[in-house]
Amino acid sequence: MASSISMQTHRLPPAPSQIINREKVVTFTFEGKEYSAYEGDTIASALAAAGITTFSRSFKYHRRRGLLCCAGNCPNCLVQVGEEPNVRSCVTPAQQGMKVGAQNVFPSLDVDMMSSTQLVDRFLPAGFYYKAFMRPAALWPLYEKVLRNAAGLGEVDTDAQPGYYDKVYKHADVTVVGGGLAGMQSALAAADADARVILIESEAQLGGHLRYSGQSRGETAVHIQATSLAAKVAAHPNIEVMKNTLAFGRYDHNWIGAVQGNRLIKLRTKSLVVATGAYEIPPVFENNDLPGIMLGSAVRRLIHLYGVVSGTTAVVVSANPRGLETALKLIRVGVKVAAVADMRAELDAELVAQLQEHGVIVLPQTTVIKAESGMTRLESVHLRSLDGCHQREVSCDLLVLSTGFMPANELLLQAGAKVAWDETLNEFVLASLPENVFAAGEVTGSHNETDIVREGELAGLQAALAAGFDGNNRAQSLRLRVAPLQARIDELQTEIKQTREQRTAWTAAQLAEQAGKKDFVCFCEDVTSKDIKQSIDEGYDSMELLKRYSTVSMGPCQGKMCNVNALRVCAHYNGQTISETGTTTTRPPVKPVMMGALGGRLMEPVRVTPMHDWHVKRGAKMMNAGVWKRPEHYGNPIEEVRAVRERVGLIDISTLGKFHLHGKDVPALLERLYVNRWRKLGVGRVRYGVMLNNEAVVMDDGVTACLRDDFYYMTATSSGASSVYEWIESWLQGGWKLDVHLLDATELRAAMNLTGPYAREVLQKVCEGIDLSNAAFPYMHAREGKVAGIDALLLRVGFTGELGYEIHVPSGYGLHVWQALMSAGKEFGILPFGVEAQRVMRLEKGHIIVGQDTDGLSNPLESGLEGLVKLDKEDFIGKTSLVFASEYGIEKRLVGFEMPDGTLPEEGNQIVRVGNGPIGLEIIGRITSVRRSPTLNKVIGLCWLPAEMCDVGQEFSIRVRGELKRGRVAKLPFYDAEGVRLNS
Amino acid sequence: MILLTCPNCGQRNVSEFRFGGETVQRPSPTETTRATWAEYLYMRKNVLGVQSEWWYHGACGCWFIAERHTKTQEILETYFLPEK
Amino acid sequence: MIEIASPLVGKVDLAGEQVKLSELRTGLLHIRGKAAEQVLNAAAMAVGDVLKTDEGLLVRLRRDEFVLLTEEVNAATERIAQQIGDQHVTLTDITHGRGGMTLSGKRVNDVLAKVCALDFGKFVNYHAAQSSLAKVRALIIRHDGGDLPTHHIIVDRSMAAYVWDVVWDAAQEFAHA
Repeated sequence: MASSISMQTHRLPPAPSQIINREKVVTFTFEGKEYSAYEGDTIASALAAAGITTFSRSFKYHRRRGLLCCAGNCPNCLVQVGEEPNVRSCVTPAQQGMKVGAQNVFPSLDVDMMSSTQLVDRFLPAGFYYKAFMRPAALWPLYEKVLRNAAGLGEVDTDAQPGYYDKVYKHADVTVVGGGLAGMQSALAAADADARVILIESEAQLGGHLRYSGQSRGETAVHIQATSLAAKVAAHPNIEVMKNTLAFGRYDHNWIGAVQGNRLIKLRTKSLVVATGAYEIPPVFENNDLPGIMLGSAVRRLIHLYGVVSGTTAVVVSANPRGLETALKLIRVGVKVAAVADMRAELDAELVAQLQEHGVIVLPQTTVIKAESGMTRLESVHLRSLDGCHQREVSCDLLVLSTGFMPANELLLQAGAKVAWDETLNEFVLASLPENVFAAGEVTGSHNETDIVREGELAGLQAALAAGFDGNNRAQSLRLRVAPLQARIDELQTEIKQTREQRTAWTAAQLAEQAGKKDFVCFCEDVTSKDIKQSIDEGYDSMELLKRYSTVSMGPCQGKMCNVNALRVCAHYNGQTISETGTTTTRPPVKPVMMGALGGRLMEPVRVTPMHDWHVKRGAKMMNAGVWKRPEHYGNPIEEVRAVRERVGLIDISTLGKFHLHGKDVPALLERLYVNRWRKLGVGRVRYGVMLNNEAVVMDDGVTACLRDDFYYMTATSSGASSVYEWIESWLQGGWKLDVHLLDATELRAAMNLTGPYAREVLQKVCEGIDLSNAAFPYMHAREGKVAGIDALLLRVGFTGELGYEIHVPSGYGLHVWQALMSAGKEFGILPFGVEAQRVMRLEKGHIIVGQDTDGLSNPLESGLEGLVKLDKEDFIGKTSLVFASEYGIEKRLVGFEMPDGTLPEEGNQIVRVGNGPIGLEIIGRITSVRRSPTLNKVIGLCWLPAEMCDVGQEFSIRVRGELKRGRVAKLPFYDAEGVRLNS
Repeated sequence: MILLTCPNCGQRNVSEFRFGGETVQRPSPTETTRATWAEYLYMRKNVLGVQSEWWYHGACGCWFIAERHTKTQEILETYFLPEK
Repeated sequence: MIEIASPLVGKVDLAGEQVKLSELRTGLLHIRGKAAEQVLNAAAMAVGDVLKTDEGLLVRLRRDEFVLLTEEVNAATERIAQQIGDQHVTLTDITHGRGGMTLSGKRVNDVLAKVCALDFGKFVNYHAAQSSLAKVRALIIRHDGGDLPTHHIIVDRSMAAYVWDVVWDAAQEFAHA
């Protein structure tokens, strides 16, 4: 242990701002070598402490990359951790036993052969894959394989098991995203105004950049300010703090998506305050991507939070006070500062004086134009004055860049905020905000601490005020003292307005547009300013086109590091201003989110019938019928068909849609819903009905029984049940003044179909109160009585074509009745049968299945249901369309068919004839249902054919697994045409 | 995730509801021309602005009308079909 | 008398210190009709109100729809039927069509927040709501027993086992916290 800690050659002594716990050490491996880390270290900070400078290889050219931002915003530190790819090592805590490796290197991070692509970079300009490697076309699969292997990120383990992910809904009056100075001020202001506040912070501590700032006021003072403010926030009863939480998206009506570890948070907030700060961004110059080149905030994060410093001799390039402060900090921790180049003309006098006291050369109006590389990292930089007159080379192994910021305004833009380029500040500032969305701090372009504090308080108060009113009602829901709040808001707004005008630029106006070969605009995709110029020259000159063609900003950082620079370069080469150039659209997520987290809690509804456990115990192969579990068969569906045809069978049809219709207007309703007549049905009778939609397309079918003059019992298909309910209610609530109560009774009753030549005998044994003789209880009638002692509704209907009784009983007694019937049927050789057997038998009878044999365009006249349709009825849904459609004649029909040669085609196979299609065939129809019938010993089915080909005996061609087979139109039904068995 | 106010249950996430299309006047089904009927079936105004549309709340079974701005998603009003 | 089978056969109660989950077995009488509020003397009830009566808990679901949680559905049906007269009010015993569970304890809101988007911080005692819970339609009734918040969750019978599993899993984090 002692030896590995002594390997931390770049670790500083302890200091109060550090968040590491030196008492606890963990070890992990990186590229096969073991490293140690303190509790609190990130993978990157631990590696940097051990002197590692190369963390990855770039996407296209495989150039060495080192830490740049240290804040999870750039791609340079992406590593593979175990089976998880694309881990941002600079924000991921190091844990015991982690196996960390570089991504997409061959054979290793240190010796990556693929960096040879740099030698042929002239063949790999932007968009090269649209131009190169096109011919010969046959070699493309090889090119693709090589290219895919060369360019890329981490590896996905396709055998990885899904983890456990959680989900929670939350509610707030005011949500503040960002726990820095502005965010904390907002939260406190809103909470003091009695709002229910949630404060979301993506890192493990509150404080934002206060945690790693502050040279001029003394590091301790700033650190203490951050800690005490954070303590105040934590102690406030109205504030819930969520740390390690990324708010990745803002959706309609202030719906926030966030992730905390493995938990997805869906938060509805009345007001939103975005105080997410700004991303520090690098300037563009030759070789600006070398290891050893870091943003000022990265250097300060490493020093203040982790006690790590990554260099011995530094050059600082600055365009704001923070750069100078960083230079002073480096001196204090023992790094030599060889030079400070500041792009401004007027520098902060006090800071300059301190630097000069330490013997540091300070060069105003000077910037960096080129970096030189040693074996593995930065070796020197070329500085040049902005007027081009003076240039010098300075040796260094650390280049610190503090030249500019881009606001982290993604959430605001997602909410519909508008931004505008400010020529004075050289940053995007907010031009307008939507309702109930507020912003404060660096995200608005304010870098001065006093401004940030004021804006924070203002946003918090405004958010509380906005949340105090309840949407539509405009009623006050918070105990607000509105007048004093408004007064303070007005006061703050005035102060801020004044100071806004005095804001100075913290971002440099200028880039070095050398159009050198290796000046990177986009670090993620290796896009240089030369690539951008070339894309524009080729005509991809608008920002949106440029982005898609050159892929700038399309990598893991999604523009955080490069959007502004890309815009500047684009504007420069188009001869436009940045305002004229415009921006691209930003969409969620703000930062990468695990797919598993988005999936959230695993909740996949499953519906089971009351007899489910019985089926499973019996060995049924269960299938998914929508959300329901149903038995497909119990081992041998053919045996089940035989049992029903020859003896008796029992099937669980509890999934059927069932409805109670009560009221005097029920017959009138049925007349309008169905294509056939219902007024004179009569108590105790059952009728089959088909429902059309307004376009006369077949929507659903089922049987309906009249139990009393004002009480009807309707059935519908299992999958259509809820849609039928919605449909009927839409008419009842949409203007039809009918006195009807519709109740969804699908769940109230278990249902089973007892069917076969011995069905009556079986039922006789367990049924009371009903005369089951054919004369007393004919086909298509309903009776009520008792089965196995339970009140039951019996419907004599026939999907299978045998004598059958649908038995509907209250669900809680379903299993009892089922078992009683199975028991009673034992002596007759009863078998339970499943969906597959039922499918075969209904096909033998030529019964259609709506949605399988019919589709979204099928009307009843084409579908073999013309006998049912009563066009002389006054009105029914679909009649108008049907009348109009039938004036055109019938173009295609659903007919029965058989296969003379016994081939079994597949459902969905196309019916074809010679014609103008791609292989000399045109499609003229399709197979919708087909089975080998055990009863008739032949292949039977249903298919769609052109109307002129529907005569019995007509042959046609079916494309079956690439071959053409002959089918022949057959008469329906295939079995028991007279219906003798049904009516027995 | 729009917030929609069911006139029966109050404010809920839009995921509890099903969109039912623009409100359209159904022509008299027996005295209508083919053209008018086709327009009823297929033509919609699809305004950029406030649209009157049907919604169904699965949780309580109510159909209601919402006035929603199709761009800003502001919901101006929701109400049951008035009983004339 | 044959027993009504439970849709939660085999499910084990959760008896945590902070959260308890057990089956709710209750009769359910559904009352529908414009005149229902008169018949029930419930004109003062708003949608979502829960009223404790001698027979059980009366919940107003819609303007013209109520549900009564009661042990004695038949008796209640008879009593109410007598008030109906010639008004169109439909009474249906829907006991068989539902499955129920009761969640109680200090951390109940935390459990519910994982499976339902309603704001349980504002869900008061004697209030009910129909919403989506674990992605299925549910009736949630708050009726505290003693000083501990108690919610009844009533869903379709066919989905009860699934909903139980989801709620049970969501409760694990808090049961013994």
